[in-house]
Amino acid sequence: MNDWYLVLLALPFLSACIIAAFRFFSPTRVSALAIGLSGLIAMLTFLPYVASVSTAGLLFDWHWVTALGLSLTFSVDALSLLMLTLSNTVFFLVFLMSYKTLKKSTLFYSALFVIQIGLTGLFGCQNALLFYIFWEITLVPVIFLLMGWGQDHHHKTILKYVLYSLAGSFLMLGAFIFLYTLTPAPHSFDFGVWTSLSLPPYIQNILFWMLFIAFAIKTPLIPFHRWQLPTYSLLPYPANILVASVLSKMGLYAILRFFLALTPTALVWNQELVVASCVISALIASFIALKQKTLTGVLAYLSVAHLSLVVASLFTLESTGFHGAVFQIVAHTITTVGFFYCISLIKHLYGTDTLAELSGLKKQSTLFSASFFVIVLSLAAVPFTSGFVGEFLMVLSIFVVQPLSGIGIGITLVVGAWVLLNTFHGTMLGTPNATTNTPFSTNRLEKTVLILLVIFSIGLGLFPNLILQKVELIFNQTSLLSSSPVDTDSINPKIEDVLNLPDIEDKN
Amino acid sequence: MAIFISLAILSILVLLLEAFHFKKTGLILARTGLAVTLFASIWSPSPDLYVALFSPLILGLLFLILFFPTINRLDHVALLLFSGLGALVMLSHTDFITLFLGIELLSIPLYVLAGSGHTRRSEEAGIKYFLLGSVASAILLFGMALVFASTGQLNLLDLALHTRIHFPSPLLMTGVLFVLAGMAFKLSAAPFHMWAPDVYEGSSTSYTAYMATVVKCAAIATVFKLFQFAFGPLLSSWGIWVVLIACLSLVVGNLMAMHQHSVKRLIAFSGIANVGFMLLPLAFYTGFSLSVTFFYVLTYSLATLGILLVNDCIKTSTEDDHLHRFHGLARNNIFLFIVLCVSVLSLAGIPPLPGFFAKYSLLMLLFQQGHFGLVALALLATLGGLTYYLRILFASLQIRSHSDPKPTTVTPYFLGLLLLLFALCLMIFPESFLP
Repeated sequence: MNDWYLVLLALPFLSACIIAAFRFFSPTRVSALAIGLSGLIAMLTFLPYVASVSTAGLLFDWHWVTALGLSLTFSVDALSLLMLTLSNTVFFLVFLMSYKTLKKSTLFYSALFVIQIGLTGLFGCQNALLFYIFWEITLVPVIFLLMGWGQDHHHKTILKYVLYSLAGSFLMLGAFIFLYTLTPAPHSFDFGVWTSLSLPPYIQNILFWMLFIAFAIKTPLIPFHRWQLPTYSLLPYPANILVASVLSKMGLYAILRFFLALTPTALVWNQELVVASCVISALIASFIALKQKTLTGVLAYLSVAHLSLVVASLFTLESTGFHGAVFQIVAHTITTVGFFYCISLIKHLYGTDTLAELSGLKKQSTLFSASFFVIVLSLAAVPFTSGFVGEFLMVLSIFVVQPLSGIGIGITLVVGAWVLLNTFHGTMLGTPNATTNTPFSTNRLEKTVLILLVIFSIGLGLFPNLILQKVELIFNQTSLLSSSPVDTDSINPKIEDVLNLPDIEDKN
Repeated sequence: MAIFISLAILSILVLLLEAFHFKKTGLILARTGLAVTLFASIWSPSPDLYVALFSPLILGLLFLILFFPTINRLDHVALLLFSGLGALVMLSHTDFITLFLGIELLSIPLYVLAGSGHTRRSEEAGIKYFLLGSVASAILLFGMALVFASTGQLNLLDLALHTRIHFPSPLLMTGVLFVLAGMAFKLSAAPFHMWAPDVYEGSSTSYTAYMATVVKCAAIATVFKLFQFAFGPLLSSWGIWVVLIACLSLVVGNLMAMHQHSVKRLIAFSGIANVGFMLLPLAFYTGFSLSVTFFYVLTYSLATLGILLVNDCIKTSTEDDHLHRFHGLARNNIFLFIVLCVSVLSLAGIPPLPGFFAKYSLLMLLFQQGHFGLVALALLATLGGLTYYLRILFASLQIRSHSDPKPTTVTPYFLGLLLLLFALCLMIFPESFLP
């Protein structure tokens, strides 16, 4: 069962080729085939939970270009497994969603599968250059989706997205090459070698900021967010759900992987600055969300606010913050998918997602508005929903580190809840107007997806331990960067130790 | 030497066959003949490193260009072969006289080919190329004369010995810079690039492809041979000029390409920008720099060839060269669309396509030499390049269609398949092409 991961990596590739080759099939059959294939991939991802699959150590190692330090090295640890499960589940849901709402095109499905290759590789690779390659692979299909299936052709939006993303990834590449030159004589991009580096503090600082800006663009955090809303609005429907929910977690995953292991000193140095600026970012984003006129805008800016919170609580270097942030990564993905799916259904039926034009949807479909309500509550972090657990832990950790920021976070949460409830009130309650006069018809598939999402949102809130156990596993790992058992024992501190670093500094 | 003679005989034979109207036979003969010389050049590589690396590349590119759909006149094929012979002579020069002979043999058939269309644009291209090319040749000759005046040597080996022993005189340095300027013209590096967009635009697409790939390959190889080998010890004095030319090319090429609407002009400016990337390694004498540039030239040429092939396959009612030509390609011809995508994304340096490895190894070289400013410039240039490369893809994904991308023969498909296979090889085994 050692080849489990390789199969997981190869299957999306094969699926992309198969789907592209079957372009002369009838569209319904093609989408059924795509759903089947993605379901197979999702099931395979769950294999390690039920069967004994060895995920420890290196799964695969092949030197691609020795002169450039590029080798195909993969390994799956607890963090990778969590992200893989999350992303492949969302992919399956997205394929289910695309059954109806989309102009059925084979190339569209192929593009989605290519994104899946990129993410699967990204979450499992153990070589920095490979990491960069997979990072970029996710970019290309999104460009194609924007160009070919965008709801309207906006040259500038595409360029904005591409330039922002590439500026970030070039910064990351620069930092990687810099790190490569810092490794001992036969230079290497291997994470295993990188974990054993102990870098001088000022170099750590340079690397820290290069990487942080790169990841902040991808997430995005506030000064780097300008690409987000236009891109979400331009992308065709199930694809933007994917970008908003899973691709935004790439930056967070990278933060988790790299910073604790590579730049512990710089982390402590810049901790206060980063936490404060993330909290400010969350504040600004939630106030911008207040002024949004479309549902997509509300979602985009609330998403910025939530992800800023996640980054802030990761940088508190507290155990509670770590647990809360990783939990919130999962919860936020699920609720974003849910919220965005509701927007897509509304947009599909009524052709608009402008808040002013929508009202009284509850009268048209009770099931839909009930599901929407649960998802809204979950995003607003009401107890017994998935949003609450993560948010609570995160706020707790931020309060401990910076009480003032804690107050800021409190304001963010209140404003966020206000925005969400306002949105619900405006769109669902009241009487139907001219736009929303037609009945809200959902077919069985759409109902199933909605109910699934509701079950996820409530289930995670009721049984948070399902995820928190996994977070505990991640937390107890020796090193987040490299999961190979070599050279980690003596040199590298455990994550717990790294997280306790501020205390050590204080005592000194 | 055998390759030169066989290529010369081949061109004369093709010319004779044209005279007797054996068009098909002539074309087949030209292609098979070139394939044979290509294999011969790979089979018994020349002891000269530069020739061993670049002559198979030049012959291979020439071979691929003969499959372009607009290649249909045998006399033009013969001219192309003569010009290719010139490229090989220029590449394998051992003294200045052979170098000049090669350059002229490369250029004169091209002046004719550039002006061979029956449009005003083509005539303009021919005249412009001829006039500016002659001036550049004169500058090159002047530089050679100055070098000869100060050293008394024309042979590369003697020159290398001379520059190693003697302190360079101002006269010699002036000569070297004139030679650099003359070669920069052939490379179409800024600020000697003015001719390229007009000439590319006026010529037929297949000859544009020849100029954008073969001529650039031959010129860059010659520059490397000349400057690394003969003037190598003077690196400290001409290195800064090479860096200047390279940076200027990067900036000018990218900025100008953003405003182009004609496919060939865009390719011309993208070529200018890429020359900047190719020249950068020359300024740092490491054992690695030749192989970096070789790999870069290889990926650049294949990608450019791919874009121009697709451009050549599209027939429009009007003879303009606007990016609109590509409209509707994704829907009408998926194969050509894939060729276009792979080529454009490779030129843009998107991983894991071959262009990425080329750009990446270049960055690595600059990084190891400690030139962080140049690294930043190269990254910015790559970013700028994306803005116009994506416009090509953007056009091809548009639904409106003005064109009919249906090649009449099967050869473009064969060529496209070859290009794709080669890109795949470069992607999976980049190391076997990084000598």
